Amino acid sequence: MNWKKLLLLAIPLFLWLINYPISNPRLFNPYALQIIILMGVNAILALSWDLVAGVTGQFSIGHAGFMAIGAYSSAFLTLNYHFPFLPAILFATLLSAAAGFVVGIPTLRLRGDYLAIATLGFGEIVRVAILNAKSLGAATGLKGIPILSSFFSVYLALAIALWLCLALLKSQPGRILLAIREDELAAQMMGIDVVKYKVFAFSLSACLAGIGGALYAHWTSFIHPDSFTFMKSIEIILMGVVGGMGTIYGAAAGGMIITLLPEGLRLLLEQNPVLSQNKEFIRMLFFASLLLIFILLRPQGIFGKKEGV
Amino acid sequence: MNLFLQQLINGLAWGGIYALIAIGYTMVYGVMQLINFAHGDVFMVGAFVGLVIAQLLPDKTSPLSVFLVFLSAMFFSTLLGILIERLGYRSLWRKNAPRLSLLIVAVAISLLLENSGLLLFGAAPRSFPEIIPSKSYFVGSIIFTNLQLIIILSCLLLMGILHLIVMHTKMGRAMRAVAEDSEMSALLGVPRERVLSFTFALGSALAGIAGVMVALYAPQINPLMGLLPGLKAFIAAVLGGIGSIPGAMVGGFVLGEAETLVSAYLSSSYRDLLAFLVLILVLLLRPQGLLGKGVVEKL
Amino acid sequence: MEAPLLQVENLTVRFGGLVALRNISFSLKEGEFLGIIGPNGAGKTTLFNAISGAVLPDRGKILFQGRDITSFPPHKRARLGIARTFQTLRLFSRLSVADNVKLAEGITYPIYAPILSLPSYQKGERELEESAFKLLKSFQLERYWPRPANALPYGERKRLEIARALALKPKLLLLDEPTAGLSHQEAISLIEELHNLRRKFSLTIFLIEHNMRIVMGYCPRIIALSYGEIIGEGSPEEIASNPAVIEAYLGEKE
Ligand SMILES: Nc1ncnc2c1ncn2[C@@H]1O[C@H](COP(=O)(O)OP(=O)(O)OP(=O)(O)O)[C@@H](O)[C@H]1O
Ligand SMILES: [Mg+2]
Repeated sequence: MNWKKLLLLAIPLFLWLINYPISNPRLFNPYALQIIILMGVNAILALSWDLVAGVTGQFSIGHAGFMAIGAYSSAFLTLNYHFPFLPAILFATLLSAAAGFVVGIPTLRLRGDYLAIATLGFGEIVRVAILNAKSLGAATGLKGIPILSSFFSVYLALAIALWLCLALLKSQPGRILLAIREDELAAQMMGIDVVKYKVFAFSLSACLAGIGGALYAHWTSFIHPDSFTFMKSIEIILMGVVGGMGTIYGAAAGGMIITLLPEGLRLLLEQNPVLSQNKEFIRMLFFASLLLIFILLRPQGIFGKKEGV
Repeated sequence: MNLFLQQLINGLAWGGIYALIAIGYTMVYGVMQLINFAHGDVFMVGAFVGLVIAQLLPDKTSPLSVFLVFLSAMFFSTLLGILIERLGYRSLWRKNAPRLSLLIVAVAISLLLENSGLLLFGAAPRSFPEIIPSKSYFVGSIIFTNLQLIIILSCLLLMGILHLIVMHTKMGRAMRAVAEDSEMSALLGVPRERVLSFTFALGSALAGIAGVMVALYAPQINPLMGLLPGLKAFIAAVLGGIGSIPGAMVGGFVLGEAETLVSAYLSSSYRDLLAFLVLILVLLLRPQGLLGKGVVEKL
Repeated sequence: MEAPLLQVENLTVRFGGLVALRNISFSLKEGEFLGIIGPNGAGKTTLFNAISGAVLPDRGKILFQGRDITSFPPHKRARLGIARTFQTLRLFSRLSVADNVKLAEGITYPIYAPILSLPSYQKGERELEESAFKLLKSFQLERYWPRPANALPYGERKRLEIARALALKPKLLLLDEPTAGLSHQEAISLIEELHNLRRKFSLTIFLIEHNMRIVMGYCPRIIALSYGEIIGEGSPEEIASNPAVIEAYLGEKE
């Protein structure tokens, strides 16, 4: 089994090696790099959502809230206190996990559909709180965040997130999460402390979303409360659903596909002045239709197995 | 004291509107245990149908015009409600798909309606024609408008009619049977799919009327107007006890009053957060709501 | 005399206006094979729900090994040694047969161990694997190992549910109509199997059963329930000659 560990070490090395040429605008198209990085960030977000929704069966529509916490907390530290990237990310991770924990404890006792509303409420509360926080730039957003994310850091984070989810799913805790999705009551009767495991999944998911947010903030260098609205949460859901809920690789791929697709759409729309004016609405219509088509016609997503959601 | 009374009166109209929308949420939840996220957007469509019709009519303020505006809003939103159920939910419901899938469909339909609205009408708010010229009345130092009076009275009237339908018609009885025990009602020969359609129709009709009411009261409308009132009405339904029609009415009025009082005595920026706070408190302290029954999953 | 394994005192469960269980008291000794019968809607499943914690009683007490567990959450009761099956199957249908069983065995390593691939995780998984295999083998289900639970034939699924319950290493096993839907032959062999299991695992079994011939033939003691009340208790002969029981079953088949 040692070659497997070797391979694992090779991944960061490989990412590090190609980081240099890919980040060089003379060697690699910066627009393409931009998209590749956003694909990585969104893959992390999709994984994060998949962990609670696809694996554990808990419907969250507030993931943009966790992402916002990660983005703002890390940017606050690097911008104001010149924190290095790694500690800033770690802090963001812990803070989002704590938020997941705090939201999870009361709400995860609730039935699934109430949870959905409660997470929606949470996402809104986070956004409104930021909108009113002067130290976080309030309605003007945070500008001039140092660009610390790179191809290397984003894809390393994605690799770690994938590893984490895959390792978890193969083990007893992962089995338990899946059982909660299948039948919560039966799981309780099998001696599983359902609330404890749901809170665990929720915190872990929040922590991944927080990392995604931190990476995002340090790539775009500008964040605004409007980057983390309900629509962002929906976009994350779409990634998970299109990729295939409960499929780890699938969800990550879904995140990438949903980043790439609208880019093509945008290129098309920008050629026509009328359409280009409404491109945001058209993009959302496109997302909504995709979501409907998948749930109604292919609920298992692109990469899921036939049994369906 | 007078200020307080004044605020209570102002809150009543919003309360009635929340109640009308909340009824739709609660009825659908009763028969298929689904939070129909698209319901708030049906309400928005009602308002826009009202706008289009009102703009078409030559004599906007005649009673006939007012009647036509309400009727057409009701008609089209009913139609839309039935369509949503047919095209969106029914196949999943038949397959006994997980609730998660139904919720995702609900969210998707909601997005579809909102963004179609944005594409057709733009994001800028449109002012709604004054089809009922406003008059104010004084009782002592308390003011109320004819519009408030009309809204409150029609809400009460509609709730009365709804009560008659649910308690005394064949369809109403069937609805209650499905809500009570869906499988059992099917065994007893209740046509469940027709009941679903009927429930969506009924709820959407009320939402359409509520849409025009808000349009008159606000008096501005935009394609995203369904989002917040929709969520709040849902919260009102949870507050009253989801699945309970009287609960939705009570919840609607309580939330409407609470919001008005909060914006009067604290700050209007808390107004929109209040609902979510109420939601979390209710879910923690009394998840079955004010009038709801505790539900236990059957094994 | 040693304390009973399970003791139910004055248990009352209401659903709105309906009294599903009224003032039920009985006890169950270690190693017993107790049967419970009663017409549809008598409250048998509700009694199991109350014992396993799926519903909380309105009144009364439940003692397990002398300990008051009335307000314990279900998972804690399961860990104390109360396992159950369901009247309508509740397997984790998309999980593999192996996972269904492994799951109930609890967790021996910290939650972060799999992520770091620690030795405790590898050892723990190996042990899970071994005991799950042994258990499935004793039910001749090991050949289905990687298959999703919902892909098994109905009869095998019923037996998998029992195997899953046994993975908890329970002291008390509550079986809600395990033979429903099986042919008479299958039913008899399942009950024989249960008899052997009881001896092998020193189990106490509490069985809901509609098939009179089976209860009468295998359970030394029987409780009869009707409209939420105990109307008879005793040996099969006593139950068969109890006028209240005969009355309750009058008009019913069998
Ligand atoms: N969660 C619940 N909510 C409301 N009523 C319930 C619930 N569970 C059971 N009941 C009612 O309680 C009564 C007893 O039901 P129970 O399932 O315990 O009967 P049973 O003896 O197991 O019947 P069967 O032989 O049909 O399984 C029935 O009238 C049933 O409808
Ligand atoms: Mg039963």
